[in-house]
Amino acid sequence: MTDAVHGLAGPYVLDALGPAERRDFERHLAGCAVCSGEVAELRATAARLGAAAARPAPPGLRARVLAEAARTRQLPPPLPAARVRRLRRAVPALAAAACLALAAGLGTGWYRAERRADHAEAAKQDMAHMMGEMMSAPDARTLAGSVSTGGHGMVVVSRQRDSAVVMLSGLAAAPAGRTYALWLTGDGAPRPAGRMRTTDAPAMIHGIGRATGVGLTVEPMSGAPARPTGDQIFAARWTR
Amino acid sequence: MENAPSPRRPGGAGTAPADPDALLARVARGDDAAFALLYDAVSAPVYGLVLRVVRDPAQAEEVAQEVMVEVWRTAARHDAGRGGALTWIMTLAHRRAVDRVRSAQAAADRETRAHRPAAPAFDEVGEEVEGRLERERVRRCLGGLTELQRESVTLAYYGGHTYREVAELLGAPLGTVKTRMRDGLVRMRDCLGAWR
Ligand SMILES: [Zn+2]
Repeated sequence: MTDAVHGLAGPYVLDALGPAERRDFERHLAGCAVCSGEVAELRATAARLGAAAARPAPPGLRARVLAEAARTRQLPPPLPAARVRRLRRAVPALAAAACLALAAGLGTGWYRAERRADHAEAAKQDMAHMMGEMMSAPDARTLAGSVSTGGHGMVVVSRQRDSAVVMLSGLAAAPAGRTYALWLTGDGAPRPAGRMRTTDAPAMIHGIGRATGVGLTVEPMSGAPARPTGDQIFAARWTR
Repeated sequence: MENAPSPRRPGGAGTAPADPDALLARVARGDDAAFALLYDAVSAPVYGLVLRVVRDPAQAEEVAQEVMVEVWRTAARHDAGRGGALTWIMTLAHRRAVDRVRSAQAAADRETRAHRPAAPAFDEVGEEVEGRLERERVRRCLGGLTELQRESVTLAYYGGHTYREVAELLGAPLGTVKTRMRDGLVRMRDCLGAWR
């Protein structure tokens, strides 16, 4: 696995990889929550490019398709065992951590802050390790969405690990005197889940408890409100 | 309003809305009436995309047929948790179309295609009212990309070129093209906002 493999989500969803690279990347996807989350999201965008090219199909096609379907046997749903195995994805923690370390090569800014300072290298390794642990959780789920003020966010959540990782990219540093604040939502009033001036590094949230979502607001630096006072600019929700 | 739910309404053939996700779930259970409705809902995007990539109407019709039959055959394998039905179907359609233009039979005319200037992303099409707003939105958002982003995305997606070919066509380094494809898509996503 190389940096190059990790940075292929764009060409992959555009079907712009050669056959060998496509195969390699699909193998990589199975074990990398960052790339598979990104692919899921970019695919939806690519599909819209496709739908914009719509034009009516030739009139005879409908009858031929329906006739061929009528004599084509459908595949059964996946076997339960296969489903469990796939959900588990059996990602060894190390592989996932390596994948995250490679995310540094993506240039999205998620890891830029740490890369700038050598002394932060160890912290980054710790973070990669923790995230690897999290993403190897059988119930790890990836959620993604846009930040209303620009940029986008991705959340990996595992109830089994009682943790979530929030990755934000394309956000400017918080305005002077203010800071970004994360909140756990969906279990009564929002609970504070961390604050940061810049969103370069992923944020790890431990102890999600019965929360069913994460929200992001901009808050005054001083005073540290116990409840959100700003508008929610990004939200991710999951089911309990 | 304590009316008991009408037994005819939910999921009843004929009254079902053209929601690809709901239809695909029924198709996965072998419902051929739902498949006919799904065909009506997605055949235009499927055929239009395939035609744009393979360019030849006869081949496009063949590929579109393969795609729709594949949708029928593998409907139960679609994992709704990993994306919507239309996204899944368009992914299948694009992959098939690209594989067709790259297949050995197409190798010959590919040679000429590679040296043809990029076709405009949107042209001629006899526009229907439906889909027109979306088409406009996509066109506007493509216009908001940098030239290199736009060319990288459209040469690959509509032109069916690999990123290596795109790099060659644009005279840009491989790494740059890969990156522009990704950040071009990210910018498109942010510009397009939510679907529907
Ligand atoms: Zn990856």
